Amino acid sequence: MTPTSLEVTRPAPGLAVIEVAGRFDAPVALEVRRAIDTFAVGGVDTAVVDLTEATFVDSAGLAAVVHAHRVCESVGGTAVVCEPRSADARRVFELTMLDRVLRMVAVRSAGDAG
Amino acid sequence: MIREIDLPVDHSALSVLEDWFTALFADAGWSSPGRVRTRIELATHEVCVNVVDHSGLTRCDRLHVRGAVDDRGVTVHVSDGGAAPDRTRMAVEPVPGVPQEGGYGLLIVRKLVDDFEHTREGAVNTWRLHVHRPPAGGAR
Repeated sequence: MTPTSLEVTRPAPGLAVIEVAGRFDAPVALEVRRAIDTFAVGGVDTAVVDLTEATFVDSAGLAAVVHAHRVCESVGGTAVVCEPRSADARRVFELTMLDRVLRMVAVRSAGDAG
Repeated sequence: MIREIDLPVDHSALSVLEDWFTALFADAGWSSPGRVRTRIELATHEVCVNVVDHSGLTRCDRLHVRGAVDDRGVTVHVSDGGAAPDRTRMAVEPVPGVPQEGGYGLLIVRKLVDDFEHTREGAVNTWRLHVHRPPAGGAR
C-alpha cells in the first residue's frame, strides 16, 4: 500500500502550504479541509495545495481542493494547486474539467525531461 | 480469475483495494494492466465511496467487492445491503468546469469505465463496472 503523508506549514503571514504525498482520499481530505478552515480563521488568504507527490486522488480529495479554492476566494485570496506528477493522480481533475478552472501549476524538478 | 473481498463500510477501509487489485491482475497473469488497472481501480473506489456516503450503512456493515479478469477485460461487482440509491440524485451531474464540493463520484465512474450499471435485487444493491481489455499492442 502506498504510504501517505500530510504536511501543513505556515511559511509566511497569510500563506499556508499543504503537502499531500501518496493517497489523497477521504480521510486525508478531511484533514485538509480542517486545516483550510483553521487557517482561514487565522488570517490565511493564500493556500498552496502541493499534490506533486500524490499518487492517487479521488473525488473527496478533489472536493477538498475545491473547498480550499472557495475559502480563499471568499476572503479575497487565492488557492494554487501544484498538480500531481502522476498522470493517474491528475486524472480526476481532467475528467471533471476542474483543471481548467482551478489555479493549477506544474512543478518540475531539475531532473525532469522537457 | 476471480477475487473477492468484504470491506467495512468506512472510508478508511478502502485503501486496501490498491493491493487487492495488484493481486487480482497478478493472479490473472496480466503483467502490465496499465491504464486498465488505474481506471477500474479508481472507478471501483468511487463506487465504494458512494456506498459509504449514501447507503445508510455503518462501519459495522460490509460491502462486497468481486473482481474478474478474462480475455475481454476486467469486471467488478460491488454489492451492499444499504438503501436504494436516489436515482434523481444519480441522474444530476455536476456542470463541467463549475467547481462544487462533492457530487463528482459517479461522473468520474462513468467516464472511466466502458460499462456501468446498478441493479437492486431484494435488499441488495449491485454495481457492475467493466473496462475492456485493449487489443494486443493497443492501450487506452
